[in-house]
Amino acid sequence: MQPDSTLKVSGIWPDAETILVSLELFFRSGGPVLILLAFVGLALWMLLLERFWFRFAVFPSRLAACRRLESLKARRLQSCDLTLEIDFAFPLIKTLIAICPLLGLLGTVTGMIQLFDVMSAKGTANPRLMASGVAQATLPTMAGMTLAVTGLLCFTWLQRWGQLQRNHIRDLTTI
Amino acid sequence: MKFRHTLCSSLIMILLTTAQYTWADTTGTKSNTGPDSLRALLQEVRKQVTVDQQVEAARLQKFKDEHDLQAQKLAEAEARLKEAERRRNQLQAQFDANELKLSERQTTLDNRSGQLGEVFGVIKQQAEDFSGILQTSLISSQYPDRHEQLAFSNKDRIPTVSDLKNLWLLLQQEMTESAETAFFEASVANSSGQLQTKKVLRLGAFNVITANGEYLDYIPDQQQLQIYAKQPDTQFGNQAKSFYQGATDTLLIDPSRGGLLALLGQTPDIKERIQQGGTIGYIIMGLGALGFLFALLKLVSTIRVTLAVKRQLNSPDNISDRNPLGRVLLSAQTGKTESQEALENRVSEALLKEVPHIERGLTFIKLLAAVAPLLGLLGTVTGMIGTFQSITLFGTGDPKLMAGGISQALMTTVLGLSVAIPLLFGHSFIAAQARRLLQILQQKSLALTLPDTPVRELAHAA
Repeated sequence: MQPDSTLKVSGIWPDAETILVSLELFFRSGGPVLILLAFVGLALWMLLLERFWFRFAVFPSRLAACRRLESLKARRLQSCDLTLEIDFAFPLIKTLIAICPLLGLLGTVTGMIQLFDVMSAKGTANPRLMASGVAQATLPTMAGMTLAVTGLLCFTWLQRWGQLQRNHIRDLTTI
Repeated sequence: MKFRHTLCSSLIMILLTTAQYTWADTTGTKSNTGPDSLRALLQEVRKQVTVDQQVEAARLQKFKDEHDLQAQKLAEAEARLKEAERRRNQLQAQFDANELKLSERQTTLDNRSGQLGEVFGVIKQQAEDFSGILQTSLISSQYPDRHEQLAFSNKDRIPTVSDLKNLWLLLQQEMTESAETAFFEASVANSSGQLQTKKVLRLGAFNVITANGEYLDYIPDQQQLQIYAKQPDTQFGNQAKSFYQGATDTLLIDPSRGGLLALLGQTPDIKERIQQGGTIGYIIMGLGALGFLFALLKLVSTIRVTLAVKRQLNSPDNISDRNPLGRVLLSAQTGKTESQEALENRVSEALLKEVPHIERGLTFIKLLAAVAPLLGLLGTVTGMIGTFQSITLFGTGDPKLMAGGISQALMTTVLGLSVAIPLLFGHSFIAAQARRLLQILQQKSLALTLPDTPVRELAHAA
């Protein structure tokens, strides 16, 4: 299985079919853990995008609405909801980011098991037979690391913004 | 000893004397009839002596005759020996002559064949190699006993023209057939070893499939096909089935001619894998089951409390003490005349009472999530110890021996991680819910106790 041989890149961007084929190859050589990792990554990025949407589209209007409230009681109730909404999904995102390298490790270990199974059946004579085990061991680690690093970058930025906004809201409700 | 000797000799003496007496008795009875019994005895003795002499002479004569006979036989045997030796010499001479003739003929053959000798050698070598290939080739399941046509490779004779033709035709057949798919009837052994004649489809020299999409293994010794005990995934089985029917043109082919499919049967399934984990594996799974159960219960209780708090928020006039927010609000309501600061203190006091109830059990889940990978590591280390023990016993010569132990050792790590990851996720989800709940309790209870006054007036008062 050599993805390069099937890639036909015309221009800068490969066409959809090529991407699908190479994705299929990627997932097939990465094993079941990579599929699990794909689901985790999907969930992580959906949550992150939702946070971005909240930060740019929802939050400003909500803050303005809160600022317009006259009563301190209503303002506090509203600001509590707003703080909770800022924090919503942050712990979940944090856990998903922490889980990504762990899943990569799981993939490494399962890949190693496959590798050693092949070794116990056929010996070390043929390195080609071991290649699929090595792919299964390394691809999930790489994917897990990539997801964790990109996710962490966005998450840190969002968290810093959340901290700032929380302070802002606290100022709004204290006299 | 001496006593026994004397006893024996005295016994013999007694016997002899009794014998004498009896002989004397018989002669006595005879001599009693005549007066001159002593003379008769003399005559009797003389007569006996002559008889004895006659018998002795006859015996001697017999011995002499036999001696002559033996001498004659010896002479005959010696004659036979001589004859045999003569014959041997003759045969030896003939053998030598033949040998000479044979070497002459061999030289003639070598001279006449000249360069062809090497050619025949190469042909025999090729035929032998190809015979081995044919015996293991899948195509032989369709055309059995082909290798017998190449039997000349082991014989000490020059291959005939028909032999050469056979080799050529077989080589070409193998080449042609390895590029073709063909239907044919063959006896197929199922997993219990029963033979059945089935129509099968051969894909070049790579694989043979049945109408049901089962892949077949070729056993050269018995020259029969056998269904692989472990078939590839069902999706490939269905693909093979529809390929057999001609419905699709995609098919899974094992390019190693059955090697990878045979390897499939050796890989352990999930149940065997879990058994490989051993005691520590079962401990990890037990802890995992406990953790999941606990997390599930905690999740249900947290959701129930959250729903109760939400209901309370929606009905602020009807304060109930059956939910945490209600209890905090009730404690705030008891003294409405107090200052804001005292009120806040009381609320936070009531809040502190609720915290243990909400956060109860979360640490336990976290503990299990932390312990599971550590136990996995422990299992790996004990497994490695086992592997190193086998290295001490058998050396590092056989990688197969070590590899089995290592893959077994890694299994506990897999189990530990697959328990820890969901538990970690569950813990953080429940912990987030609990923190949210606490935040709602803290901020909303304080907000609800405030009077409904506008901010501007409060700022003005300050």
